[in-house]
Amino acid sequence: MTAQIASDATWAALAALTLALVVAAHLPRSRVERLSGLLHRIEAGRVGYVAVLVGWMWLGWHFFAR
Amino acid sequence: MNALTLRRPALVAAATVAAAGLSAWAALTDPFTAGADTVTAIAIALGAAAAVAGWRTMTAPVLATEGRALWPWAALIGLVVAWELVSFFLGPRVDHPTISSLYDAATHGARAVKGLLFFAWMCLGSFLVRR
Repeated sequence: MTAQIASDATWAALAALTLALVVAAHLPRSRVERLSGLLHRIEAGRVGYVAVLVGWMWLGWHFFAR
Repeated sequence: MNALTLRRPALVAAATVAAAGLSAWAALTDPFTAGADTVTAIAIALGAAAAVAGWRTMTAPVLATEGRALWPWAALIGLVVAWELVSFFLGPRVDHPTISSLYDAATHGARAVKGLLFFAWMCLGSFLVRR
């Protein structure tokens, strides 16, 4: 197995894990926080809110401008 | 029904059309060009303006799911960050792609994908800005 295949497989596994967590969080009586709830918790305070928005701006600049 | 309630669907429709227009523009740009800088800066400025406009009146988010476990997300984020760092420092990029290089590969020559991702990023911004 080449390093490229191993790396791609790891990224695919992480993507699958993310999807599984999103689905698990939306199951009835789930004990896992939803992604939206996680984001809302982080931005509940003003410092967290600004940090989340700056992160969103950086994300856009990094991927679409640079 | 007050004026804001009446105006809200029109505002959402206008914002959606504007986001679609910016996304189409972004899809036609290439990184490291004035066009890419401009369209991204406009989207960021719109997000910042929305955040500033709602700063005084915004309310704390309603946490309907308080008490649920956060650790699975923390563990997942830790794994993603760890693998990103491993890939970044191991190199070469073709063998150990980072999230950025995966994005570059996915959008290379696929302008529709780039436009959709830009639209998704703007939708995320709309979700994150508190009102």
